[in-house]
Amino acid sequence: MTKHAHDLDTLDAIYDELAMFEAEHGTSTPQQKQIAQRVKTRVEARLAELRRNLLPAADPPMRLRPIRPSLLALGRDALLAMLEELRRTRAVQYAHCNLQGLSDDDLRRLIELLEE
Amino acid sequence: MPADTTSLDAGEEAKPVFAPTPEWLAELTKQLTDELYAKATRYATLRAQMVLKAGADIDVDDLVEDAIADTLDGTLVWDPAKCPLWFQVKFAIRSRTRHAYVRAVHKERVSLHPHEASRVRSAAETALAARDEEDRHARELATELIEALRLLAHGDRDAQLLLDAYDAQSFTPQEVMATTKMSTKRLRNARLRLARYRQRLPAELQRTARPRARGTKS
Repeated sequence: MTKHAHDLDTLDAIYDELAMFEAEHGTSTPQQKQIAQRVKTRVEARLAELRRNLLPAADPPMRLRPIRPSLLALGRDALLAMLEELRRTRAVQYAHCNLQGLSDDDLRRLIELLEE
Repeated sequence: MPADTTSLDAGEEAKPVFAPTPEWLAELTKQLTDELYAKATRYATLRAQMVLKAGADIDVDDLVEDAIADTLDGTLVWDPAKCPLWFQVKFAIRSRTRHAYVRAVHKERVSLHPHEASRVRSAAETALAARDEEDRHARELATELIEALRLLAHGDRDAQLLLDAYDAQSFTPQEVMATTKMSTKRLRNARLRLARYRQRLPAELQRTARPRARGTKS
């Protein structure tokens, strides 16, 4: 027989003691492993959100300057000739091997960039 | 911890919004290991048994997740310099299961005595009656648990001494060692054996939390 009266605090402490020992020295059942994995997945999602919130806000999108009228007046052949001239005289380099993939406006922007 | 405030109606007091620092988040991430998830789940499973014994159901998933989530959103304040994350999580689970147990006992009492609420009683009388009911239920459950463990630990002197210590309301290792005069090693072995006896408890005392559909919390 027990010698002392128990109350809620006693029950709470007994379960805490048993649960603590199980936590520290027990082995997880397959069901407990599944629970731990499920909780981890959900917590990781929350953590990722918190980390995103800590990132600095992105810069506002850059607005391009209007293309100058003298370049707008030139046709594609003239633009390609101008690029070739820039490449030859100013020793500039650009990554586009095949300029056919660029629109006329792309060529105009490229020229502006190289002339800066 | 840095705080921010939200827009409020006139006269309403500003409530700080929790905003973790990168250092705080890094420390939390460092301590939130697979081992912590496993330990918290094992701890919560056993604590859930206490609530189940009061006739209510509680989801182990929710217990562990809420303990961590409440820390993440600042509902539970955690200072890494003052306590390890594991203690914080354990405390949250312990607190929630204790409250769930008390709620379950009250619910059971109301369903057993549906007309009692209509009696004219002071708030103090009501609170005392509720506390008596909690203690009566807890007393019965603790006695049942200890007696069942005593039967299983028959012939195991140190395990019996450990149960004597629980009877005497000594729970921390220091208190138990002072009560039983056991060495640290003997105490550890006795606790280990008691944990094994607990696993052999009859089904009605050994009930584990049932897996069930999420979102059906009682």
